[in-house]
Amino acid sequence: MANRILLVEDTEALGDQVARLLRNKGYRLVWAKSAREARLQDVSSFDLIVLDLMLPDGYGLDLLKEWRGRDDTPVLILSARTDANDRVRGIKLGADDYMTKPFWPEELVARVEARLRRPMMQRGGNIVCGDIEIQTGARRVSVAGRTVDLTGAEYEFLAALAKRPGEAISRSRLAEAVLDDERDGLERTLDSHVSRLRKKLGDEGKRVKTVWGVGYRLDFDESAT
Amino acid sequence: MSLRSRLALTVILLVLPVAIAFSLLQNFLRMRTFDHGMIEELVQATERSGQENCEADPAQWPAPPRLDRRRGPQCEPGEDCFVPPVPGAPPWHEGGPPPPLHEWSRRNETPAGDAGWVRREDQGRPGEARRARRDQVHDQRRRARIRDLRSRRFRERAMLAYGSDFEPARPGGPVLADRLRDAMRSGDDTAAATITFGDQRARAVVYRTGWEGPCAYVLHARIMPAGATVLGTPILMGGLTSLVAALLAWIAGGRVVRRVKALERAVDATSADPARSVHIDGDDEIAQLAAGFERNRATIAAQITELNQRDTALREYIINTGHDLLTPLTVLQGHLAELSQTHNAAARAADECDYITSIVRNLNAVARLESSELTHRDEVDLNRLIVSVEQRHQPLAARHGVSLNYGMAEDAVCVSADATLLERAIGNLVHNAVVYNREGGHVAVTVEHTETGFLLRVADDGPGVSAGELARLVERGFRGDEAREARPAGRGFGLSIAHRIAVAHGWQLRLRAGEGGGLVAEISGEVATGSE
Repeated sequence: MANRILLVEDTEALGDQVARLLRNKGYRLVWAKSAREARLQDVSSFDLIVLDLMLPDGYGLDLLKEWRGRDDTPVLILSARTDANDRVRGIKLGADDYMTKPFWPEELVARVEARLRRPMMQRGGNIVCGDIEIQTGARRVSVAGRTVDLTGAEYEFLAALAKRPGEAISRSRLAEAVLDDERDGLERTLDSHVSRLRKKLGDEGKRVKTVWGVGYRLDFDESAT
Repeated sequence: MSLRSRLALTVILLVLPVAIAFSLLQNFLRMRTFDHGMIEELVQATERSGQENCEADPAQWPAPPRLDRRRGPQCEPGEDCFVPPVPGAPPWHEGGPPPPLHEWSRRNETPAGDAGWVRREDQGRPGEARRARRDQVHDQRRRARIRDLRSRRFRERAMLAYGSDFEPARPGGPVLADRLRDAMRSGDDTAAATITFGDQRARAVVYRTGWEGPCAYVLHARIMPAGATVLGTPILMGGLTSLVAALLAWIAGGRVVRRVKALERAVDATSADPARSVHIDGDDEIAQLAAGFERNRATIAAQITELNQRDTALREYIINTGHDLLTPLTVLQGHLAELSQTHNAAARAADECDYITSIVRNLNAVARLESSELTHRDEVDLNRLIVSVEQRHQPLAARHGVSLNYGMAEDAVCVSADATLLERAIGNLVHNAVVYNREGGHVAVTVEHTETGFLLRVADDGPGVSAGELARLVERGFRGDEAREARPAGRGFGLSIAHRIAVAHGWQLRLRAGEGGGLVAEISGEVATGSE
């Protein structure tokens, strides 16, 4: 079922653009053009709220304060204000993200997806990434239901990436988590572990991405493979 | 030299010559009075003795002392007697040397009458006329004594007759000083001078009697005590007077100096607080000077206030205009994003839009840097911030065909910072790394803990810059040759703003060439307390 998003934005042109953009991405969107209209909505029925701060009949942070008293629906703030006070207040009041204008539609979509994706990645203590399922309790990995036989180092490597979904993890951090100093020694041993891991994961191995200048990342995008 | 010392020295320089001149004038007047007194006595003695008496025995003029009647070593106190200075030598009126005047004067209990060496007291002679004369002489001598008491320097005196040839009538008498002779020769009736008499100095007056012969001139001399000089006393008095005056000036100057120091403190205080007024109590020149300072301070303070108001208004205008531009820019970016799916030209328009956006954001950042708003700081997690910057620049990187990635530290890296400015600094570094890269290039933003704080790195594998350009990159408006080629229409002052933001936070921005080419920008600094 498509995620429901509440957009609170008074600027007609921008609201229309954001609404079309998110609807095109398959989200079910409700657009409130004022604080009064936003208050009429049952915020707990939404998966995400995109909130503009400057509204004709109120201030976005006041709305956030009201909502946070009774609900913890993720809130993404849009603001044309650049002073640090609003950003800090917004985060302190419980906003999950703060975006200053102007922004490209892709950035908004990326942030919305990042907010909505996280709860889906954990399933009963297991981490799911495409066809890959990592059972952290049993230290077992399966691809499309088929168990893959991984060495200890390969499992630690995959688990370290999976714990930070979509994030690139530096080679030094991975080496620290995976390699046994006495036996493996050098960081370049990491590359041979990665190479074997990709082979064992088959097509899903493409999700283990080399990130220039950083290290590796496990790609959660559906289109990654 | 301090004000008080200068004041005291000035007083000395001014008072000393004036005091000396006064003292000299006083001396001169006293001497003249004194000379007149001596001349008066001389004239009286001349009139008393008469020409005949004098010429009969000029050596004994004004009168032979009676002591020749009873002279000798058996003199008793109170008697008229004279003991020759050299035992066995004849008395001076019999051809011996003149006695030292102090010897003579010490015996002032002996009446001298009209003796050559005038005594202080005259015991008188019998007879009415003589008594009357004695009274008159007493009266004159009393006045003379009073003058003497006023001038203790001249205790001993003598009267002598001189011939027309200026030779002393009395054997062994003092020779007339040249100055006195010259005055007489030139026709003066009286003359006065300081002369030497043996080893003593004396004040002497000469009177022309008008009698040709051995009594043509008569002299009246008074001995000055040893060491007394005409100039010595005025210099001593002048010195003492000016020292006392300088001391008084030093003491009196204390109040002036305290007031000047109070003024100095008041003026100094205005440099720390221009609104603080300068005021010194009173209505003297220092208070007037303080009032002058206060008028200038008020004028300057008003000008500063006006400039600040203008500055604030200009900054607010820039910030507000920037804010007003942000929403339309967002809408414009949205339309361009839609158009770019079907029109190639829209991608170039999107680039320009990005550029305008970066200018607006940097204008905003500069306005805030200039307004010293950095006093407001919060704890900011660099991990979250680099994600935000990466997301923001992802569309730009995609259009340029550049791969943009980030790598966070395992734990939060919290710093005390102005979040918006810090995001701008990192955004500028990333923007440059993307825009001045090549298609297919990479940009990586990483943050990590170090032993001393944090290290935030923006690395790219673009064309990089030459070693010579590296140091100048943070200068405002400077861009490397490669950068100019990549974006000739741009301004590229993003690096200098990033540098200013880092410095404003007390951090360092370092640029270096990447190991595999490209440019590496690193911001390093301390983490917020308790975040490690």
